[in-house]
Amino acid sequence: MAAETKLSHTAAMILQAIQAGDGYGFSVMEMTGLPSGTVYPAMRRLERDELIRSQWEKASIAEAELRPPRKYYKLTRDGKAALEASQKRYPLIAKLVPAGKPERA
Amino acid sequence: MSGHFHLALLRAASLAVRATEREEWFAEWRAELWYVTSRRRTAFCLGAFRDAFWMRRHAPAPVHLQSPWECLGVLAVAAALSLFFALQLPLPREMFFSPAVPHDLVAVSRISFDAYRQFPAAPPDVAFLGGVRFHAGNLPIALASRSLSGLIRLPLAAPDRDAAPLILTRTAWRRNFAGDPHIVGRRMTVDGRQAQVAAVVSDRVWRLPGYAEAWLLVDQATLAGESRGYVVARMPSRAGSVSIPHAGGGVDRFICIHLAEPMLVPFLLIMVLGCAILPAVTRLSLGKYPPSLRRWGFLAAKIILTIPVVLFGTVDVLSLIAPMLQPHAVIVGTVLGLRWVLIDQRRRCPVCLRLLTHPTAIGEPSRTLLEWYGTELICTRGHGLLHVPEVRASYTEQRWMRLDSSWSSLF
Repeated sequence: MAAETKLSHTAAMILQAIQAGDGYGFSVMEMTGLPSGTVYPAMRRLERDELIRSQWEKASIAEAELRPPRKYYKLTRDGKAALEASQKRYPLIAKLVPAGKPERA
Repeated sequence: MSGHFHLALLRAASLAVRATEREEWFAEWRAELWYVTSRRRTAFCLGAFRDAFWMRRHAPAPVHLQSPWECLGVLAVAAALSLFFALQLPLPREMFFSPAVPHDLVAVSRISFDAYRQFPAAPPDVAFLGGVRFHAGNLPIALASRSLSGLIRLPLAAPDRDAAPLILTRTAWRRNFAGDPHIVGRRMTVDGRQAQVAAVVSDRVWRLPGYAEAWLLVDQATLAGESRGYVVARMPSRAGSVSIPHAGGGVDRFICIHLAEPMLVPFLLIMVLGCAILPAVTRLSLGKYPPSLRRWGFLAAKIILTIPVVLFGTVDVLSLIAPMLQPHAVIVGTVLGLRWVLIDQRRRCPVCLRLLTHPTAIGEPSRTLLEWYGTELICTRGHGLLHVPEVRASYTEQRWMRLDSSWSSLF
């Protein structure tokens, strides 16, 4: 995917949340305030476009923290470039999606 | 709400995901569900359906459906299997091919007991069924003539002399008696009368009129109190109606319904009803292409093969779990089946009829009004590109761009 890829506002928010937060689905939901029916399909689309990639964490880590294993998403090189372009295009994104780690409610 | 309910929702949504990706998809959603508070879990799980359908829409087509001949082959095998099971399962076989009741059995609706007595046939060739007379709990029970069982060739367990035989439908047997395997012979009191269960019959094999789920077989004197009901009789002639003189000197004419008529035609009419709903769930347009007999022939073949798959397949499955929902399920099946036929047709190359592949998002969502925005698919044999607009509107239509021979070196 070209580095100058332009994203919709929602996709840019999700990329920002993945970069700023823990990078699993629920954390993206909590940081963006978007519903599950928006976040997960958007992440599938971003992964299909090779802007993010996913990886399951090791079961031993999850077991040590007494929780189910997470599927983490990370930005690819193209994803980082797309996010940088989006931050210039949507300057408020960084304020809308501040860095932080959601706790289980 | 229990965790099982939400896991069941996720499992149901996962059925829309391709089998090869289903378990990983379910594992991710199940893991994420752990973080969600109980108050928000249902909304969270409903979002899973949207994700699952997105996965389904964007999954590559199964290899065996890409080629037109293989697609027709798969449909033909599915149609043959549906027909095979329709011939093997008792209920679909009775409905479509060989009704269990005698071929000359007719039913007449909304007839008075006095008119029944003037009916041009006498017991054991005629029986009267009352309307639902009383309810035992939620079980609607009607009275009927003792000659009924002989008329419809239903063997009854020998009843006690002082008890009236009671016939139950399978649904009533399961719901009211928990499917007790020793139900036949059990005595009970029904509306102050002693009754004894004499038979359990399949709901739809025994196609009698009315909404009763149990029939108490009584003598003529007891039936005399019924105002209106139904008559079931053997009529050797294929008469469509019967005329009965009434006390005032005139003649009343009653329409005869032949109970042994196969249900194929009524169910085909139900499918026509499903076709009428189709424009509400998908576009009927197949795109603008040069006229092609091959393309239309392929569409016709798919429709012809889809009809038995939907009709027999739905009835086969529903006959095992919920026979009363068969007409409803056939409507839904028709809509979904024909919707797939149209979507599949729109996604095929108009030249070689293979499914187009490699979907690519083109354009920018934020510039929808000024620029073209949608998905582009390509024919792997190099016949052309299909542009599918993302925004559905009356003025947007998928466009086919033919690639000339100068592109052949790429394929």
